Amino acid sequence: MSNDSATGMELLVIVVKTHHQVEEILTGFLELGIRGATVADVRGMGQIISMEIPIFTGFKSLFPGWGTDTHMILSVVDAASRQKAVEVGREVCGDFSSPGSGILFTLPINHAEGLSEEIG
Amino acid sequence: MFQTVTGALVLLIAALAGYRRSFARPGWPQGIRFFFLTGTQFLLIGLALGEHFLGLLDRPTIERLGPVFSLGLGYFGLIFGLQLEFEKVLRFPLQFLSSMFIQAGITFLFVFTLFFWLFHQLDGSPAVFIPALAIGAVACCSSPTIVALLVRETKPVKCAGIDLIRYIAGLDTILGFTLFAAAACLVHTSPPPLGPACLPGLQWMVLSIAFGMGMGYLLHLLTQTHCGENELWVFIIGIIIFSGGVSLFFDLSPLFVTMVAGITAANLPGSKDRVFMAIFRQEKPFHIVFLILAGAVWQPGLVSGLVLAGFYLFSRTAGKICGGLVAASWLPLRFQVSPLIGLGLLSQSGVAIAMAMDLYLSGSGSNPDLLVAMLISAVLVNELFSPAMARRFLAGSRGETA
Repeated sequence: MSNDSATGMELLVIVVKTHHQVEEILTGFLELGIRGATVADVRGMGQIISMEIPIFTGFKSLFPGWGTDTHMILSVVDAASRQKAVEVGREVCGDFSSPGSGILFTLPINHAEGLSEEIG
Repeated sequence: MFQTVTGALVLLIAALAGYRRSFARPGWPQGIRFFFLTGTQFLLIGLALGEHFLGLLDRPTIERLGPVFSLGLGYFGLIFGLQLEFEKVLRFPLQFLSSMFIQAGITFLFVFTLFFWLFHQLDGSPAVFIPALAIGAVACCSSPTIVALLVRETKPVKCAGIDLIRYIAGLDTILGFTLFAAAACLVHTSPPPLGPACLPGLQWMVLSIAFGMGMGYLLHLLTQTHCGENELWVFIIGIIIFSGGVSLFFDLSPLFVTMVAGITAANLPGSKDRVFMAIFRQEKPFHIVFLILAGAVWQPGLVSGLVLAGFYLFSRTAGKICGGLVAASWLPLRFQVSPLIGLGLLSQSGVAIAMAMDLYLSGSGSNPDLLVAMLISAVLVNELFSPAMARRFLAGSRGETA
């Protein structure tokens, strides 16, 4: 599948703080018919510069990425699904206005290949 | 009742406020800053809240807060055990593991021998073996906090020596918790129900391991089902309170039992990372609650406690330095490591406090007040000089390569 910007596809990016929120959002996406999303474990700026001091978890701190539980969901959606997908994000994370509740934004896509067809 | 509720509220507020405020002191001189970053000041806050000053957390109140102790001790054991996936432990060279056992074992022998001799001179009873064993077990544990802070602040050249010291500081608590559990089991003069009438201590130890493994397997089963964050918390807290409570009831070590549960859960397939992350976020509030409670039961006026703290500091420091020296020179490591590696392992902080509170509750020592006074005094002094010692090791590690 190949899409140009004229097709109106957008990249929806949602950054959430727990694995549980990821599951809820992906379940919501499936109900909307969006069946493609990529989830990455990421670290926020605050998590990198803050003093994460191990007290009992010294061994775990030897491994990169320890102590972080932030996830980034990437999904390419069309204009019709975008608003509903944003609503799913708001239902799970709140309205994103309070600090630490997560981040949501969309970007226009100029060109895309390899996307799955939506369900239904 | 009113005082218990007030005490619990004070603990809760201090833990939440302290968690937000106490772990950042960017502009202060390093020694003082590290003292605050490890949360050691909460011992002094606990002392102020205890019966010697404000009286908000007096003895009867602390006794009524027993479930908080079983929750806290169980929490520390579980979070420590959950890190220990065998595959990850063995991802490092086997010499790392040997170094850890050698330095911790030598430190234990130094401290145990001195205290056994000392108690024997004072008491003359063979029962002094048990408190000496418990003190030796506490001594062999190191806190990873100071090394992690120094590595973060000084950004030394990446070298295997620093990985080695972080590995040792992260894992030597295994030996400490195990020896500590042995001390708790040796207190028992009669075997467990239905057990044969020989070697009661060994039987209680086997029971501790079996119970911990059972709890770990139960945690694994419960977290296999798809559950929300709140349900996950209920499962984890339930396992911790049950394991900790049963251990305290039978005078076993909750730290050891839940460590075994954590190791069991960590080495079974499933959502152990999710469990770890769920409880990891609460590590600092729990740590603060324990520091405050330890400060509240501390009797700084016990002169004998201060004298014993001097012996403890001397023998532990000598043990760590000699243990590090032996590990660095005798083991066929594939890289050069500073013989002063023991200097980086002097900090104890939360690990020693948790064990002191376990000692206080489980009665592994004949005089828990004295032992707690000794350990807390030693930790306070230790946290003042251990950063400078660790810095010395790190400075000597710059030229080492993997």
